[in-house]
Amino acid sequence: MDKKIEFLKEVIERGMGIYGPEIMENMLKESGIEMDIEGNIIFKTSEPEAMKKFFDKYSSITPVAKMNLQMLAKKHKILLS
Amino acid sequence: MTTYNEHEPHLIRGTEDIYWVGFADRKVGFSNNPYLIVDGDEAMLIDPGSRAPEHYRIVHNKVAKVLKGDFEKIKYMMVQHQDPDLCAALPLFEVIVDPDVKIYAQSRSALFLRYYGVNSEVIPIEDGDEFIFKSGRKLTFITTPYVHFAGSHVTYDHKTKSLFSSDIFGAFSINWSLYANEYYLEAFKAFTEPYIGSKKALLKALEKISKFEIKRILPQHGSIIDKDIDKYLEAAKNLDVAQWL
Ligand SMILES: [Fe+2]
Ligand SMILES: [Fe+2]
Repeated sequence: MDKKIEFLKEVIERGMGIYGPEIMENMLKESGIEMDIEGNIIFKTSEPEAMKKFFDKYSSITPVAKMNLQMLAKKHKILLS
Repeated sequence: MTTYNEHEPHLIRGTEDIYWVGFADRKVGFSNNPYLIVDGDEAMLIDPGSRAPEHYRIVHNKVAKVLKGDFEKIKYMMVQHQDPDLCAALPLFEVIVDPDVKIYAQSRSALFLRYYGVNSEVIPIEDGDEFIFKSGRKLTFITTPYVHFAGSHVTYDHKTKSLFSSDIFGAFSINWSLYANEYYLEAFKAFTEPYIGSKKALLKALEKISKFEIKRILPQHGSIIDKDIDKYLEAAKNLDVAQWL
Protein backbone atom coordinates (compact mmCIF):
# COMPACT_ATOMS: atom_id res chain seq x y z
CA MET A 1 0.00 0.00 0.00
CA ASP A 2 1.04 3.56 -0.70
CA LYS A 3 2.71 4.77 2.50
CA LYS A 4 0.64 7.96 2.49
CA ILE A 5 -2.59 5.97 2.37
CA GLU A 6 -1.33 3.68 5.11
CA PHE A 7 -0.59 6.76 7.20
CA LEU A 8 -4.00 8.28 6.47
CA LYS A 9 -5.74 5.06 7.49
CA GLU A 10 -3.93 4.97 10.80
CA VAL A 11 -4.76 8.62 11.45
CA ILE A 12 -8.43 7.84 10.78
CA GLU A 13 -8.31 4.86 13.15
CA ARG A 14 -6.85 6.95 15.96
CA GLY A 15 -9.35 9.66 15.13
CA MET A 16 -12.19 7.23 15.82
CA GLY A 17 -10.81 6.98 19.35
CA ILE A 18 -10.04 10.66 19.85
CA TYR A 19 -13.13 12.10 18.18
CA GLY A 20 -15.65 9.28 17.90
CA PRO A 21 -17.32 8.18 14.66
CA GLU A 22 -19.69 11.11 14.19
CA ILE A 23 -17.08 13.87 14.15
CA MET A 24 -14.68 11.71 12.16
CA GLU A 25 -17.23 10.94 9.48
CA ASN A 26 -18.10 14.62 9.12
CA MET A 27 -14.46 15.60 9.00
CA LEU A 28 -13.78 13.11 6.22
CA LYS A 29 -16.85 14.16 4.28
CA GLU A 30 -16.01 17.84 4.51
CA SER A 31 -12.49 17.09 3.31
CA GLY A 32 -13.70 15.12 0.31
CA ILE A 33 -12.53 11.73 1.54
CA GLU A 34 -14.62 8.59 1.50
CA MET A 35 -13.91 5.12 2.75
CA ASP A 36 -15.73 2.18 1.18
CA ILE A 37 -16.86 -0.95 3.05
CA GLU A 38 -13.59 -2.69 2.31
CA GLY A 39 -11.67 0.24 3.77
CA ASN A 40 -10.46 1.64 0.45
CA ILE A 41 -9.93 5.38 0.39
CA ILE A 42 -11.63 7.43 -2.31
CA PHE A 43 -10.69 11.06 -2.89
CA LYS A 44 -13.42 13.34 -4.19
CA THR A 45 -10.90 16.06 -5.07
CA SER A 46 -7.16 15.79 -5.64
CA GLU A 47 -5.37 13.63 -3.09
CA PRO A 48 -3.02 16.34 -1.74
CA GLU A 49 -5.86 18.86 -1.46
CA ALA A 50 -8.16 16.44 0.37
CA MET A 51 -5.41 15.26 2.68
CA LYS A 52 -4.36 18.79 3.57
CA LYS A 53 -7.93 19.78 4.30
CA PHE A 54 -8.42 16.70 6.44
CA PHE A 55 -5.19 17.06 8.43
CA ASP A 56 -5.94 20.76 9.05
CA LYS A 57 -9.35 19.90 10.44
CA TYR A 58 -7.97 16.98 12.43
CA SER A 59 -5.36 19.18 14.11
CA SER A 60 -7.57 22.16 14.77
CA ILE A 61 -10.05 20.77 17.29
CA THR A 62 -7.74 19.59 20.05
CA PRO A 63 -3.97 19.79 20.52
CA VAL A 64 -3.86 16.11 21.48
CA ALA A 65 -5.02 15.15 17.99
CA LYS A 66 -2.44 17.46 16.43
CA MET A 67 0.27 15.85 18.51
CA ASN A 68 -0.90 12.40 17.52
CA LEU A 69 -0.96 13.33 13.86
CA GLN A 70 2.59 14.64 14.07
CA MET A 71 3.78 11.48 15.79
CA LEU A 72 2.15 9.21 13.23
CA ALA A 73 3.69 11.31 10.44
CA LYS A 74 7.07 10.73 12.00
CA LYS A 75 6.40 7.01 12.36
CA HIS A 76 5.38 6.71 8.70
CA LYS A 77 8.11 9.12 7.56
CA ILE A 78 5.60 11.50 6.04
CA LEU A 79 6.35 15.18 5.74
CA LEU A 80 3.29 17.21 6.72
CA SER A 81 3.02 20.43 4.74
CA MET B 1 -25.25 -0.34 30.31
CA THR B 2 -24.48 1.48 33.51
CA THR B 3 -25.99 4.90 33.83
CA TYR B 4 -24.06 7.58 35.61
CA ASN B 5 -23.98 11.30 36.02
CA GLU B 6 -20.45 12.48 35.38
CA HIS B 7 -21.04 15.51 37.58
CA GLU B 8 -21.56 13.28 40.58
CA PRO B 9 -19.18 10.84 42.25
CA HIS B 10 -19.72 7.37 40.84
CA LEU B 11 -19.57 4.03 42.64
CA ILE B 12 -17.67 1.85 40.21
CA ARG B 13 -19.79 -1.01 38.94
CA GLY B 14 -18.99 -4.37 40.43
CA THR B 15 -17.50 -2.75 43.54
CA GLU B 16 -19.04 -1.71 46.84
CA ASP B 17 -16.56 0.89 47.86
CA ILE B 18 -14.44 2.33 45.04
CA TYR B 19 -15.57 5.71 43.77
CA TRP B 20 -14.60 7.65 40.69
CA VAL B 21 -14.24 11.29 41.77
CA GLY B 22 -12.78 12.71 38.56
CA PHE B 23 -13.80 14.79 35.59
CA ALA B 24 -13.50 14.91 31.84
CA ASP B 25 -12.36 17.89 29.84
CA ARG B 26 -14.08 17.16 26.56
CA LYS B 27 -12.71 20.29 24.87
CA VAL B 28 -9.18 18.97 25.09
CA GLY B 29 -10.09 15.30 25.14
CA PHE B 30 -8.34 14.63 28.41
CA SER B 31 -9.92 13.28 31.57
CA ASN B 32 -8.50 13.00 35.05
CA ASN B 33 -9.53 10.11 37.26
CA PRO B 34 -8.81 10.25 40.96
CA TYR B 35 -10.37 7.33 42.87
CA LEU B 36 -11.48 6.96 46.46
CA ILE B 37 -11.51 3.64 48.29
CA VAL B 38 -13.74 3.70 51.34
CA ASP B 39 -12.94 0.73 53.53
CA GLY B 40 -15.05 0.85 56.67
CA ASP B 41 -14.02 3.95 58.57
CA GLU B 42 -10.83 4.44 56.56
CA ALA B 43 -10.50 5.97 53.13
CA MET B 44 -7.66 6.22 50.66
CA LEU B 45 -7.55 8.88 47.97
CA ILE B 46 -5.66 7.68 44.90
CA ASP B 47 -3.96 10.12 42.50
CA PRO B 48 -5.81 13.19 43.88
CA GLY B 49 -5.24 15.35 40.82
CA SER B 50 -4.75 18.92 39.78
CA ARG B 51 -4.58 22.06 41.89
CA ALA B 52 -6.15 24.30 39.22
CA PRO B 53 -9.23 25.69 41.00
CA GLU B 54 -11.64 24.54 38.28
CA HIS B 55 -10.31 20.98 38.59
CA TYR B 56 -9.73 20.80 42.33
CA ARG B 57 -13.21 22.09 43.08
CA ILE B 58 -14.77 19.16 41.23
CA VAL B 59 -12.68 16.48 42.91
CA HIS B 60 -13.05 18.09 46.32
CA ASN B 61 -16.83 18.30 46.00
CA LYS B 62 -17.15 14.73 44.81
CA VAL B 63 -15.02 13.41 47.67
CA ALA B 64 -17.07 15.53 50.09
CA LYS B 65 -20.26 13.95 48.78
CA VAL B 66 -19.00 10.39 49.14
CA LEU B 67 -17.70 11.03 52.66
CA LYS B 68 -20.63 13.24 53.63
CA GLY B 69 -18.17 15.99 54.42
CA ASP B 70 -16.03 13.87 56.73
CA PHE B 71 -12.67 14.41 55.03
CA GLU B 72 -10.85 13.15 58.09
CA LYS B 73 -11.89 9.67 57.05
CA ILE B 74 -9.05 9.95 54.54
CA LYS B 75 -6.17 8.38 56.42
CA TYR B 76 -4.11 7.64 53.32
CA MET B 77 -3.35 9.19 49.98
CA MET B 78 -1.39 7.50 47.27
CA VAL B 79 0.25 8.86 44.14
CA GLN B 80 1.41 6.48 41.47
CA HIS B 81 4.13 8.78 40.14
CA GLN B 82 5.26 12.36 40.52
CA ASP B 83 3.33 14.11 37.73
CA PRO B 84 1.39 17.30 38.56
CA ASP B 85 -1.87 15.96 37.13
CA LEU B 86 -2.08 13.59 40.09
CA CYS B 87 0.14 15.16 42.78
CA ALA B 88 -0.55 18.90 42.61
CA ALA B 89 -3.69 18.64 44.74
CA LEU B 90 -1.87 16.87 47.59
CA PRO B 91 -1.09 20.07 49.55
CA LEU B 92 -4.72 21.18 49.25
CA PHE B 93 -6.08 17.87 50.49
CA GLU B 94 -3.51 17.28 53.22
CA VAL B 95 -4.80 20.21 55.25
CA ILE B 96 -8.40 18.93 55.29
CA VAL B 97 -7.94 15.16 55.66
CA ASP B 98 -6.82 13.27 58.78
CA PRO B 99 -3.95 15.33 60.27
CA ASP B 100 -1.92 12.12 60.51
CA VAL B 101 -2.46 11.25 56.85
CA LYS B 102 0.18 9.08 55.26
CA ILE B 103 1.09 9.52 51.64
CA TYR B 104 2.36 6.54 49.68
CA ALA B 105 4.58 6.89 46.63
CA GLN B 106 7.31 4.88 44.97
CA SER B 107 10.62 5.87 46.57
CA ARG B 108 11.85 7.60 43.42
CA SER B 109 8.66 9.69 43.22
CA ALA B 110 8.51 10.26 46.97
CA LEU B 111 11.56 12.49 46.62
CA PHE B 112 9.60 14.99 44.58
CA LEU B 113 6.55 15.39 46.76
CA ARG B 114 8.16 18.05 48.98
CA TYR B 115 8.54 20.14 45.84
CA TYR B 116 4.76 20.38 45.67
CA GLY B 117 4.77 21.73 49.22
CA VAL B 118 3.66 18.46 50.80
CA ASN B 119 4.27 18.42 54.57
CA SER B 120 2.71 15.11 55.62
CA GLU B 121 4.56 11.90 56.19
CA VAL B 122 5.51 10.29 52.88
CA ILE B 123 5.96 6.54 52.93
CA PRO B 124 8.26 5.34 50.16
CA ILE B 125 7.20 2.04 48.65
CA GLU B 126 9.12 -0.61 46.76
CA ASP B 127 8.12 -3.29 44.28
CA GLY B 128 5.79 -5.87 45.78
CA ASP B 129 5.12 -3.93 48.98
CA GLU B 130 1.71 -4.42 50.46
CA PHE B 131 -0.65 -2.02 52.10
CA ILE B 132 -3.23 -3.44 54.48
CA PHE B 133 -6.31 -1.60 55.68
CA LYS B 134 -7.55 -2.16 59.24
CA SER B 135 -10.14 -4.55 57.77
CA GLY B 136 -7.39 -6.75 56.34
CA ARG B 137 -8.03 -5.64 52.76
CA LYS B 138 -4.78 -5.82 50.85
CA LEU B 139 -3.29 -3.66 48.12
CA THR B 140 -0.12 -4.69 46.30
CA PHE B 141 2.15 -2.07 44.77
CA ILE B 142 3.80 -3.04 41.50
CA THR B 143 6.57 -0.80 40.23
CA THR B 144 6.55 -0.06 36.50
CA PRO B 145 9.88 1.70 35.93
CA TYR B 146 10.03 4.01 32.90
CA VAL B 147 6.31 3.53 32.25
CA HIS B 148 6.35 6.35 32.11
CA PHE B 149 8.66 7.52 34.92
CA ALA B 150 11.43 5.83 36.87
CA GLY B 151 9.23 6.30 39.93
CA SER B 152 5.98 4.90 38.51
CA HIS B 153 3.92 2.17 40.06
CA VAL B 154 0.47 0.64 39.73
CA THR B 155 -1.69 -0.85 42.46
CA TYR B 156 -3.71 -4.04 42.72
CA ASP B 157 -6.67 -4.28 45.05
CA HIS B 158 -7.10 -7.94 45.99
CA LYS B 159 -10.66 -7.52 47.28
CA THR B 160 -12.13 -6.31 44.00
CA LYS B 161 -9.40 -7.58 41.65
CA SER B 162 -9.03 -4.02 40.38
CA LEU B 163 -5.85 -2.59 38.94
CA PHE B 164 -5.25 1.12 39.46
CA SER B 165 -3.11 1.49 36.39
CA SER B 166 -1.99 5.13 36.58
CA ASP B 167 -1.06 6.39 33.08
CA ILE B 168 -1.07 2.89 31.61
CA PHE B 169 -4.34 2.30 29.72
CA GLY B 170 -5.07 6.02 29.72
CA ALA B 171 -6.57 7.68 26.67
CA PHE B 172 -7.20 10.89 24.79
CA SER B 173 -10.80 11.31 23.76
CA ILE B 174 -13.34 14.06 23.36
CA ASN B 175 -15.78 11.16 22.87
CA TRP B 176 -15.15 10.19 26.50
CA SER B 177 -17.37 7.87 28.51
CA LEU B 178 -16.71 6.65 32.03
CA TYR B 179 -16.64 3.03 30.90
CA ALA B 180 -14.62 2.17 27.82
CA ASN B 181 -16.68 2.24 24.64
CA GLU B 182 -15.97 0.40 21.39
CA TYR B 183 -13.54 3.11 20.24
CA TYR B 184 -11.48 3.09 23.41
CA LEU B 185 -8.70 0.93 22.05
CA GLU B 186 -7.81 3.63 19.52
CA ALA B 187 -8.13 6.40 22.12
CA PHE B 188 -5.77 4.39 24.31
CA LYS B 189 -3.26 4.05 21.47
CA ALA B 190 -3.48 7.78 20.76
CA PHE B 191 -2.49 8.55 24.35
CA THR B 192 0.06 5.82 24.92
CA GLU B 193 2.09 5.48 21.73
CA PRO B 194 3.68 8.92 21.93
CA TYR B 195 4.01 8.71 25.70
CA ILE B 196 6.03 5.63 26.49
CA GLY B 197 9.69 5.74 25.64
CA SER B 198 10.66 2.09 25.79
CA LYS B 199 9.05 -1.09 24.53
CA LYS B 200 11.24 -3.13 26.85
CA ALA B 201 9.99 -1.20 29.86
CA LEU B 202 6.39 -1.48 28.71
CA LEU B 203 6.62 -5.26 28.19
CA LYS B 204 8.19 -5.68 31.61
CA ALA B 205 5.38 -3.69 33.22
CA LEU B 206 2.75 -5.75 31.38
CA GLU B 207 4.44 -8.99 32.38
CA LYS B 208 4.31 -7.95 36.04
CA ILE B 209 0.70 -6.81 35.81
CA SER B 210 -0.41 -9.99 34.02
CA LYS B 211 0.45 -12.10 37.04
CA PHE B 212 -2.65 -10.77 38.74
CA GLU B 213 -6.21 -11.73 37.94
CA ILE B 214 -7.66 -8.46 36.73
CA LYS B 215 -11.39 -7.78 36.67
CA ARG B 216 -11.16 -4.08 35.96
CA ILE B 217 -8.57 -1.49 35.05
CA LEU B 218 -8.92 1.94 36.60
CA PRO B 219 -6.63 4.29 34.69
CA GLN B 220 -5.78 7.83 35.71
CA HIS B 221 -6.99 9.14 32.34
CA GLY B 222 -9.63 7.93 29.95
CA SER B 223 -12.17 5.24 30.73
CA ILE B 224 -12.59 2.32 33.08
CA ILE B 225 -12.01 -1.02 31.37
CA ASP B 226 -14.02 -3.89 32.82
CA LYS B 227 -14.59 -5.96 29.70
CA ASP B 228 -12.14 -7.58 27.29
CA ILE B 229 -9.21 -7.04 29.65
CA ASP B 230 -7.10 -9.55 27.70
CA LYS B 231 -7.73 -7.66 24.47
CA TYR B 232 -6.27 -4.52 26.02
CA LEU B 233 -3.31 -6.33 27.54
CA GLU B 234 -2.57 -7.85 24.15
CA ALA B 235 -2.96 -4.52 22.35
CA ALA B 236 -0.62 -2.89 24.86
CA LYS B 237 2.05 -5.49 24.09
CA ASN B 238 1.83 -4.61 20.41
CA LEU B 239 1.96 -0.84 20.73
CA ASP B 240 4.41 1.10 18.59
CA VAL B 241 5.93 3.18 21.35
CA ALA B 242 8.81 5.67 21.36
CA GLN B 243 7.85 7.02 17.95
CA TRP B 244 9.16 10.51 18.64
CA LEU B 245 12.71 9.22 18.50
FE1 LIG C 1 2.06 10.87 34.09
FE1 LIG D 1 -1.30 11.17 34.12
